[in-house]
Amino acid sequence: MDAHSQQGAPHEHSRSKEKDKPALGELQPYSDPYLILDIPRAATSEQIKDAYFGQVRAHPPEREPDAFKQIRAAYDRLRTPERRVETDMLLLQEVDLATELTAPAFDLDVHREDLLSMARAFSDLERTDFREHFRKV
Amino acid sequence: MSKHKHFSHHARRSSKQDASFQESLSQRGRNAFHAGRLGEAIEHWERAAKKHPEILPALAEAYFRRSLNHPTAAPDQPLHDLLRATELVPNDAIYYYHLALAHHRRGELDAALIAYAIGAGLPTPPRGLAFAMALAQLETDPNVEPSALNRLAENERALINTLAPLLRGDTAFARQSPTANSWLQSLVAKFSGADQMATLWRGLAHLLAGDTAAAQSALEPAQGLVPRAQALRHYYLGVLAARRGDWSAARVDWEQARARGLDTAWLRANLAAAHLPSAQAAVQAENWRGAVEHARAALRAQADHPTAAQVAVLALHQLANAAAHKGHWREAMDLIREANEIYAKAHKTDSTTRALLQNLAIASEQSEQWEQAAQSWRDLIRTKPRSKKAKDTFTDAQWDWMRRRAILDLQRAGQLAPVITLLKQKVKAEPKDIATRLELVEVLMANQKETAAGNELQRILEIDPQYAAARLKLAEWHVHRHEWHAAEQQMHLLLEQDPSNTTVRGRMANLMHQRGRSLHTDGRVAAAREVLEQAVTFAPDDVEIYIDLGRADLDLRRRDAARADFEQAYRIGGKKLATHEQIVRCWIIDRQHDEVEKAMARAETDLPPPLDPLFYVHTGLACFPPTAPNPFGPARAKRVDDEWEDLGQAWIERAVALKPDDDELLHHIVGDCLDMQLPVGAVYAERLTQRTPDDPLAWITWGFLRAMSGQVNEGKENLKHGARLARQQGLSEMEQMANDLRRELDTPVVSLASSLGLPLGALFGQPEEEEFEDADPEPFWTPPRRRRR
Repeated sequence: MDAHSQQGAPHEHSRSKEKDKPALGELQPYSDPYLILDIPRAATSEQIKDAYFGQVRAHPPEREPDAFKQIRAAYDRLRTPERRVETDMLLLQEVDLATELTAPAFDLDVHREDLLSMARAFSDLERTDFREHFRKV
Repeated sequence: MSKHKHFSHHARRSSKQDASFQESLSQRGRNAFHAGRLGEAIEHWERAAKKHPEILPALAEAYFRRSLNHPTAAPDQPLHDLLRATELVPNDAIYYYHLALAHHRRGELDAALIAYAIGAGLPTPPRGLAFAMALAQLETDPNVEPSALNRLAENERALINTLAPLLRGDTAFARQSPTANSWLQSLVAKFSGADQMATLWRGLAHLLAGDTAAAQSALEPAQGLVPRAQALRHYYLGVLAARRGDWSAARVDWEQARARGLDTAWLRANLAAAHLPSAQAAVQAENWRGAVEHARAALRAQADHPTAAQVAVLALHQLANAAAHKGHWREAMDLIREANEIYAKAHKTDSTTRALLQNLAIASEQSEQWEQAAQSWRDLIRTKPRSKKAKDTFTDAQWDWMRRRAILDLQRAGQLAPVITLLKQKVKAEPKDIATRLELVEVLMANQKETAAGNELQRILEIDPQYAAARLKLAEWHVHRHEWHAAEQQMHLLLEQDPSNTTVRGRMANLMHQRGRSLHTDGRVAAAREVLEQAVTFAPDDVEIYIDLGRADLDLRRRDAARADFEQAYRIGGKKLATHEQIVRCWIIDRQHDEVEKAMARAETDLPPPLDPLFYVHTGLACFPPTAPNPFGPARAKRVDDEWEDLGQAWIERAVALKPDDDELLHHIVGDCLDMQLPVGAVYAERLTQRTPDDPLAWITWGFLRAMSGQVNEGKENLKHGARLARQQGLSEMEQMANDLRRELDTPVVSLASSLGLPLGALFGQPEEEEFEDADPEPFWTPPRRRRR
């Protein structure tokens, strides 16, 4: 951190925060702590802990500080039941739709309504001009 | 003039006036009628008709003509007008004929047939009545020969005779040669386009008979068809293409049919389905944008097509996920919203609805669209099953969280008041809807309408005294008002209902813990101890309660009991540094040197070495008394004691010795001292200046602490030096800050704070909350370098 960014007055802090803030709708990318820890969403707290330590062993902080930071942040989001409720509620959900979609169903019959509608074309049902039916007033 | 004469004169005059008025109404009606203002004419003539029955035919005609001109937005009005016309002139076949046509167009065949029959029975029925009536009869039942058949012209009879077997599925007509149809000859003479129509029908007859090749050649010619027939021709050409499996040709023909005004349910469904093979191929290729485009086209044909909706939602969901992973939340939100709208039109509420709503809420929050986010959470809450026994994927804690989140988002959107109004209306409509009442409570609480919220909770419990969530909320409501006893009563009632409910037991423990602490702070230590002892029965593994119990026992001079309490705390939290630190601090407050030493030794034995230097800093600082007694708060140390100060100093030094080159640690010590230990802070701030003599910030910090510890002039000199260094290094803002501090040190209020040893934040206010959301409250001034905690 350079000396300029160490200035302490709260309003300064606020201004610099504002400046760094991304545009609306372009905020931080989505991350799923379960994916980072490589565990199912229904994992127990023991499984979460085990997965965390496993990931830390695989990505030790001294060798992979960025990966460790991610792992640590993911673990923090799942560590307590309260945090986990919030984390779970803020996870994007999969939609329960089959990727094997059903074949489209077509109705390829001849409809009596269509036959009738052609006959109607010869009747007064589809006429709009009935001036010859007008009475003199 | 006698009275009698006066009245008769008056009556004569009034009768004359009335006649003239009626005359005027008739005339005005006539004028309006001829100007085409039929509504106005009807209005005048209806008023004049009582005294002028000769107007009735004109009035009926006005109704009749108006019935032909009504906008489609008022579909019932033509019927009303025609019924009135038939009432006014009941022997006119024209009016009955049009009444029948109106019913017929609406598909009200029974009513149409009655009106046709009446019209047919009146003198001079209009030409066309018998044919329309025969059609209505055929539409009602194609197996019955129309009674109107004998009144039809030859060409009309021929047409009906062809249509009737077709409607019955008899396709013999298809096999006849065109010239064999006598009706066709007369049709051609009578109606233009009738020959083409016959060909079209023949094509359909082939189709009915299953001869697609013949159907195709019969349907190909396009000339001379009326628009409706042309549209139908395209539709059935599309059917033939679809039967061949040529979806794109089918799609083109069906689009043509739609463009020509055909809008049948089967056309919409088929057109939607014709887009699906391409959409599904795109899904298989994971070409989500292509899939969305095809699915959207299908949905334009039929908005509630379930398979099209399924494809669209799947593809939109994938695109939204990809956008979210890139941080493009606004795009993700729009995609999910579209998916949600599509799915809602085509499917009932299910797990997909929930997933989409949840995703929409998340994306809306990330896009700071608070109102949309709140709405999505609320929509999701509405999917909660009414029956408590129904299995559900969300837990009670999650439902609670959603409710709170919706309200939080509404607060962010500044929209709580309208929500209260809406919920109140809903409650009024459904007084026994407890879930809505509970939602209302949450919103009232969030909007600081506490009394109203309390009343609402009471009402919920009157409706259902066993409703645990409401009773829990009522307990929280009492806590909010510091009505501890009432809160505990509610918790006891809950525990009577369900003694093993861990949530309630945890909340009860928390509640009693808070009350115990509050009593202790007020100096009612014995009462505090009693409450804490009860609290621990509800949460036997809560370290904090045991430590507070120990503190109370120490204040009651029950050291053995305190030791037992601390043993329990060690048993539960002995592996945590915080537990050891708190217990050491308790013994420091009690000024039990031996116990402090023992507790320190135990920490060093029980915890893996080396201990965090901050442990020594915190316990060391606890040994010091505050700079001066704080007149507005409880005493933090009993008396100034050199022996304790030496011990504290030794521990802080031990911390420094553990990390001798760590400037951050020195900053941390200085930061911790800013609250109440200004002289100690000054010592370590001075050491910082020695270690980094060119750091203006170190000088500013030292100067400030010295000045606040009473060495005002020396402190100002340090600030001046810090300002000079900052200027030399081009740090103009830091220079400005040093100069500002120097000026503020001269103000009487700072002098007073310094002499009383007040926490400076109390005088100058805390920094804005959002600046330090996760930090402890800061004093008036904090060195800008980040603190390590």
